[in-house]
Amino acid sequence: MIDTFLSDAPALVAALRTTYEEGDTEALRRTAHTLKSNGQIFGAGRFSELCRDLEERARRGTLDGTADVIGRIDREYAALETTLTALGSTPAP
Amino acid sequence: MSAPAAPPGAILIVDDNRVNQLLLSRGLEQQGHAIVFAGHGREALDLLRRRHFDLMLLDVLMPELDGYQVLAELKLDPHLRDIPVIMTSSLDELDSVVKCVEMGAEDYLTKPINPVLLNARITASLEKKRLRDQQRELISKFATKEVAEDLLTSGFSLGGKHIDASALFCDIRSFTTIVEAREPAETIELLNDYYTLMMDAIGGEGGIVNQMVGDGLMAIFGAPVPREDHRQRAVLAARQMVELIRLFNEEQTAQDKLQIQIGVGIASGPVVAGYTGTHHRATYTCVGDTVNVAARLESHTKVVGRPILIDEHTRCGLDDVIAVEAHGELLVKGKTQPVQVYAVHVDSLVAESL
Repeated sequence: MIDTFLSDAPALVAALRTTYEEGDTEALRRTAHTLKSNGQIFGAGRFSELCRDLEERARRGTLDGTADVIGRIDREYAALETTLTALGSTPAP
Repeated sequence: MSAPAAPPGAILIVDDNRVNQLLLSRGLEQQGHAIVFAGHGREALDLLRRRHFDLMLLDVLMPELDGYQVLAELKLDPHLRDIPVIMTSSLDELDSVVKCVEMGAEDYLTKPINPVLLNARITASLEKKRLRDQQRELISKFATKEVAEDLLTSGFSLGGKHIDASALFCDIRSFTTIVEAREPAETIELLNDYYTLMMDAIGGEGGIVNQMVGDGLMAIFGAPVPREDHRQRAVLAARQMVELIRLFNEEQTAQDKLQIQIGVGIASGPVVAGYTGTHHRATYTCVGDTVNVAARLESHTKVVGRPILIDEHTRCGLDDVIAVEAHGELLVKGKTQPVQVYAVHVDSLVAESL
């Protein structure tokens, strides 16, 4: 499951920025929704919360400050990726 | 506490998120369920129409078709509407979940999914589906397929409605004399053969047999499911009934057994159709003037010596392939005007089959 997430997530995180820049709020909302859901599964609270915030902004169509939220999601994802990669490479007990 | 395992079923997981798909499927596969994934609503509906599923786990927010649209389409399709659907959604989508349950979803689960709850909900839903399937099977043993469908979709309520339909009556000529001269076992065997053939002909044309009394039967065409061509269908069924009895008689002769003759009366027009009886014991039937006329026409076949008699209304609904001839008038008790009687030709049928 971690492998699937790590293989799908970079494209999804990148899609946040492109859909935002294209003004496609529906796609932005759906992508943020997926990342939020995945973050919850792996217990990534801050990451999920930021994605939830972004999903809500996209749903309302109020995109002020959204670029900043996406920047924070990028950084949170980088940290999450490092943690999960380490977990994934740890042999099961 | 873990829920008892459900008997394995075929489960469709509909979610555009691959991580969710894996999370949902992991435990279910261990329970022996067969899992198939769909990444969006359109793919889910395509899969549902192509193969059998016992249950569907459905995400709300998806590309192509979302959960609402899938549910709405599913509920419109009589072949799919009974598949239990469990919605899967985030906690902050609870409003949407309420809407889905109102639209007919069986249950819901919030993400991240708790595996124990997931198993419990799936077990409960599969069990409910099993009971519904059993109930459907039982109803269809005691009612025709159409009445069973009508009961399962509209529910049971006494009372009727006006519809346009054809009523058909049939019985075996001189049956009382036959019964007196034969062993009981032989009579019952004869009746069973007769009913099998008659129901085959009637069911094949979309009619339903709603009454069987001794050697007499009543069938309805155009109810409970309305159909435009009920008159043509009823007469086609009657011709097949006569033809099947002719073939049956050939077999009987070969075995040195008794031959039988039947008479069929058909009338069409407005009837009151519905469930009559009590809440404990009821039957689906049609009543009204049209039904009385059909019964009288059936009796009249003995008088005129023709196997199939129909009324004017029925004749108006026939195409050119079915040949009929006017056969005078018949006075029916309670009616001020005599009924115009027509005899349906059956000779051409015999010639065609030779």
